[in-house]
Amino acid sequence: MISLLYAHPYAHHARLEQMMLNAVQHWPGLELRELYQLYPDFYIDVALEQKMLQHSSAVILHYPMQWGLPPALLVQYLHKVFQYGWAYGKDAAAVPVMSLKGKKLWLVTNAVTSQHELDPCYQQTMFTPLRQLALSCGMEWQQPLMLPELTDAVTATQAAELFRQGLEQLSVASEEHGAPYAS
Amino acid sequence: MHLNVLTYLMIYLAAMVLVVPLAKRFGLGVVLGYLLAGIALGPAGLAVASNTDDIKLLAELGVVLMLFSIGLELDAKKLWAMRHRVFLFGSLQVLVCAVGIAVATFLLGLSYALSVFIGLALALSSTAVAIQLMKDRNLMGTHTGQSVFGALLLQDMVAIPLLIGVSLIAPSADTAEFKALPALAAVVAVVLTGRYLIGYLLHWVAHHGSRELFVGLALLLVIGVMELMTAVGVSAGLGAFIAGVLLASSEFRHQLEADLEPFKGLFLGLFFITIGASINMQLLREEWQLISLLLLLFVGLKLLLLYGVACVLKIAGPERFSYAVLLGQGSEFAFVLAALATAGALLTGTEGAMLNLLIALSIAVSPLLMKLQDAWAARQQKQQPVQNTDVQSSDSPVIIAGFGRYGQILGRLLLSNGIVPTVLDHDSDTIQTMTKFGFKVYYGDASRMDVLEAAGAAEAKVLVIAVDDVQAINAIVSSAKQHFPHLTLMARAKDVAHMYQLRQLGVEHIERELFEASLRQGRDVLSVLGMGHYEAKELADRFRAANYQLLDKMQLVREQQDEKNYIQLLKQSREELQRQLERESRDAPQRYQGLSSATKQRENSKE
Repeated sequence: MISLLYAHPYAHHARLEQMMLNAVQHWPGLELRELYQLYPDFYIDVALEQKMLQHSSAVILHYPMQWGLPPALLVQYLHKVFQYGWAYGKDAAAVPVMSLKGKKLWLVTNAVTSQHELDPCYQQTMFTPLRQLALSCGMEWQQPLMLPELTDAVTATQAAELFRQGLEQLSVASEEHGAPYAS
Repeated sequence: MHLNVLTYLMIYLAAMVLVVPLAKRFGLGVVLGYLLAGIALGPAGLAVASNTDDIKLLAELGVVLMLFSIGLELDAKKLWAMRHRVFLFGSLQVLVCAVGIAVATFLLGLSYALSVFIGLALALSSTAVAIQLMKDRNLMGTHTGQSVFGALLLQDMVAIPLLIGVSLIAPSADTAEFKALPALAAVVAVVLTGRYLIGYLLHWVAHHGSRELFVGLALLLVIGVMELMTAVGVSAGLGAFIAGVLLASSEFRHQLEADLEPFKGLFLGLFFITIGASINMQLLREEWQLISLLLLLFVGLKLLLLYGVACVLKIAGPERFSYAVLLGQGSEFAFVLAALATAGALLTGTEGAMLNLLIALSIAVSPLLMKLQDAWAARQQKQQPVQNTDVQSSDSPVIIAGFGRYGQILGRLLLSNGIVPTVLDHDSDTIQTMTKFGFKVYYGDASRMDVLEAAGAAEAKVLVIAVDDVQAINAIVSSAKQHFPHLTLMARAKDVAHMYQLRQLGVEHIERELFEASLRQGRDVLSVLGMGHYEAKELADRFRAANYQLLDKMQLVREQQDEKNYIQLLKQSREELQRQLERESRDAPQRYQGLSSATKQRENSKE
């Protein structure tokens, strides 16, 4: 199973993005969870989410980037679910734990400010905090995908194709040495 | 002077209007006020109540209307849930009282048959009195109230075979004949028409008639049932009750209730007045020693027996006595029974008059006893805290007054987080259940300083007022503000107007009881209609904020008592809301532009 965590506060209004997601969401084993639909009050079912993540071979975080930051609910999710004593650190018996060890972490974002407006230097550092998270949790960092600007149906189809290629890579790679994590 | 019905009605109404407010002013209660008015009009007073058969009929209509409106509040499901209370507990009450009183009368030297008759007749209680007393004290919903009501219902049923029995043993000319087959047919007719026909009729009149026609139909319905039932010798009240139950699930329920309410109140008042007027003062003066002895014996014995029954019914200690007092008087049925027995020569004239007097006096004594019981309960509460404060070492920081649906949710939240709140409620049933779950529950009226003190108000930090009655909430707030100024008060408000009242009383934390729930559901409506869950939440949050802002603004104007401004502000705010909505729907594309990389806008321009 691959967990696709989609965090967009107004997803219903991002129609082209919906179009793209529709094109990829039937990928075998892909489990799409819309965080803003599931937890509009920011009260996250931590136990359930941890279980879901544990059953996944890869975790995809898909979100619109604003000022280089993920939406507030995704940050909340990372704070609550990627807990000390579960995702990293030591458990009650002082034994080191990494419940998500070996799973892949792949970011798919589309920047609110169009790409060329961003300082290239900044682009390099934008993903640093999440990369650090992957490192601390023993997760396998995948090259993030910056989606092109979606302007019409054609760009949406192109974006879906890029997304699909990324998914293919995830699946191939997890077949190679992901057996213990595959569900 | 010849007096017609209208003149009588005028006199009775005048007596009501004059005497009842006076009685209330002196703390005697409404029922006692009516009875006093009756005595004043009766043979011993102004003697205007001599030929009052017509008025008596209207008075009876009051009782019938009361049972009808009680029926309206109980649909079949609720009634079914009460079956044990009615048949089991009710029979127990009638049986115990009947046997007890019969044995006593037999020991007094009356004949065997007469003892049985008197025992059964006096085992019944007055539905009108008991229910009026319960309504005054808001007891109808409690375990005690339900048990009393169950017993009253069974008594209404028992009265039918009793009437038949008397007319069989002592046949007389004016016996209201009970015909088994027609009676059954009548009940079936009421059930069938109530179930199928009346609904259509109500619909029809509501749509094609005018407002007062609906009132007319409601009255027609009740009087019709009353006439039919009287004709076949069944208790009219019971018939009306059945009709009420059948209409309880109709959509016109509230309309019927509201329309009949003033008639019910007035005619019930007439009923109490006629009882007052029927007290034979001459006989009382002549035989006052014997009668007071008998009254003492009767009421004492009945209270004792009922107290015993209350113990068996597991009614909580302090409420056993109110159960006894509520049922501890003679019944209006007993008047009819006594009249029948006298006509059938089972009783002599004097005995009949004596019995009548005894019943009337016991009815008059009832509200007085209830007052005594209130005072006694208040004293009990004063003593109770002494024991309890001994036991408690650490008082809870939170007191919750009122443990209905509102208070329970709040209390459970606290309890699940390790804070054990102290709870004040006046329903012993709730108290028993809640004590099991670990709440510290006190029986009592939270507006009283001593009760609050007993609950540990001096040490507590927060007092949550979760009672559902506006008057009661305000009383508790005032009392707490006065005696325990350090308490943080949190109150439940019925509506906006009440919220302003509470603000003026100085309560800082006020929640309108339905506001959050409605807002939450409104939010779900938006979600179901296809809006994102989070977006719906945001809109609801924005609505809440705007609402609070508006309320603050309105309060300022309200405080200045500027009505013109107030209305204008209301209008303004409505217009502002409209403008805001228009702006929002216009701005929607821009609002989301930021997060969907301008896609939406372009899409729109393409369309």
